[in-house]
Amino acid sequence: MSPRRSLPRLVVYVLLLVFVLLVIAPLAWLYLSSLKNGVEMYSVPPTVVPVHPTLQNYGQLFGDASFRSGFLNSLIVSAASTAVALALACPAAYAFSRYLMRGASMILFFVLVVRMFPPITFSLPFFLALQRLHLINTRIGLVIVYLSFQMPLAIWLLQSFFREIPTEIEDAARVDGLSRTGILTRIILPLSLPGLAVATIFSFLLAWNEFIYALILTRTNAAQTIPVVVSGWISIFQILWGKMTAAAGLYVLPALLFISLVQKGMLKGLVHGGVKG
Amino acid sequence: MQFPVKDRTYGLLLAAPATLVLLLIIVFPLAFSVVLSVVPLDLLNPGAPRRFVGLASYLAVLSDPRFVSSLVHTMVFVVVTLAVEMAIGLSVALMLDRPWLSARGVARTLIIFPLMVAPIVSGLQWRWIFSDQYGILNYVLGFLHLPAPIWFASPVTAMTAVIVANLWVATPFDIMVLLAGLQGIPDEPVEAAIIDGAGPFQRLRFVILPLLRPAILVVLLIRLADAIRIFDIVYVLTGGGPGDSTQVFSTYIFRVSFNSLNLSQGAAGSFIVVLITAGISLLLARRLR
Repeated sequence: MSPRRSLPRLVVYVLLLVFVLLVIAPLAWLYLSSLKNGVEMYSVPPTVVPVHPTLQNYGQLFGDASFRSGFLNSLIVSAASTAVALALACPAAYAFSRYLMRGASMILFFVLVVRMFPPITFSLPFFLALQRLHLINTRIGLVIVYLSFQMPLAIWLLQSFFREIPTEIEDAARVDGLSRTGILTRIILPLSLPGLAVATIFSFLLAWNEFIYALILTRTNAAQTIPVVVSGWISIFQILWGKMTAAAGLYVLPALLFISLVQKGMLKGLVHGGVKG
Repeated sequence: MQFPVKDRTYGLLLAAPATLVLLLIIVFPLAFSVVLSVVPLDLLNPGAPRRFVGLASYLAVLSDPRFVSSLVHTMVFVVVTLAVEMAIGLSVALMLDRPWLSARGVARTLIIFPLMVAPIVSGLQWRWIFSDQYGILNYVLGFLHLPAPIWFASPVTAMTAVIVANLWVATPFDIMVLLAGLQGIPDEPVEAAIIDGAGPFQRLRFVILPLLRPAILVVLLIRLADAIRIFDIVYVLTGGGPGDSTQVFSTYIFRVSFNSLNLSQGAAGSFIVVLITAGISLLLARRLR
């Protein structure tokens, strides 16, 4: 396009390649390390590709009751909170996209509040409230708390998706005698399945990745999620890196899978909801 | 229309459950937290009468040197990480925006991989990479005859490790938003600049960057709030050490509240930081208009 290019093409390709490698290398190293046996893990000089690849770290991981319960807790809490968040968010988002247009700014307000106030600020009242309700160290307690960041995001994302659906379709359905609830459940929701998928995946990953609330609000295997269990393995004296890398590798797998499946929607969600971390 | 209930009423009915829940789990806890910061609660002696102490908790936390130093560490972290993120993000976005670039899709897919990775995983993987004896990084540095520090033993290198671990998870977001911004810039102003004889640097400085300003400010706004709250990475990577040299505001509040059980001081401290965040964000948002 431009007559005087700022950088030769080759330089751009090389720089991009280096950058991509820098992005991929840490994760690759994590997975490669997780496949090494105890000796090779700490060998000097280190091997890049495991010479004797083994799944023993993963075996050890699943032999660990705390990891198994952590995995189950993470799964149950994330799935349950996502289901509740979406069930509440869908009708609200539809209302904000059609009947209460001004209310949408209120939801934006909630999104912003959740962004501006660090989780540590919320963790104090959550801790005291759950304690009073005897919900400390329970999965239900975590589900309730996770709604606080999943719902604003889900509502915000969904109402922006709903707005893209032309109202003519609804008018036509009205003329054909469909009730408003029928319009929502039989026209709007099926039409916005891609948007629903994005909101669901996003909400799920936010809960799946959550650490600080789980750290503060859980105590034992009854409710501790993967990140809390794994962070408990850190000690100043020794870290079993085989088990650690295997755990981190498994834990991050859903995030990697989802992001490669729904890139476009993910980006849209990030920009719209301004969520991360 | 032909429905028995008015549209507005119907809308309110649909929105009511979600709104109630949000009030209950967002507004109420925050209000409670504000009260907590001025009417302390003794966790060890919950039956004790509670009284209003005004801003005493705020003054107490502000006069705690560990709080002030945690704020300084947070600010250092935020400024450095945002500056580096923007520099890398902008450079990579500009390269990805070349119209002749083939394999852009592949590059983008690979670059956004860390986007939804849990910060705690980034912290763990970099702890392994930076580890002094068996870390791959120090092996490579030694191989290149470069100094290989014991990363977690001194304040500057430990903070560097925190920043690197954060850059790894955060930068893809910057790249993607900036790239979207670049792709939204029309061709005409750039072509006009070329015809007027502007070189690549001038085009960037006087045409592209001004047009990209909204995207840059959006990235800064979002990332600022994220960076200020950093917790997970510090917790698993350095634990705030060595000494308290990488203790950031969130890890400080965590300690004060849940190790020392001084909830009021924790609440007061966190509101001070919220005020700072809000202040900076407002300044940024005003420039956005």
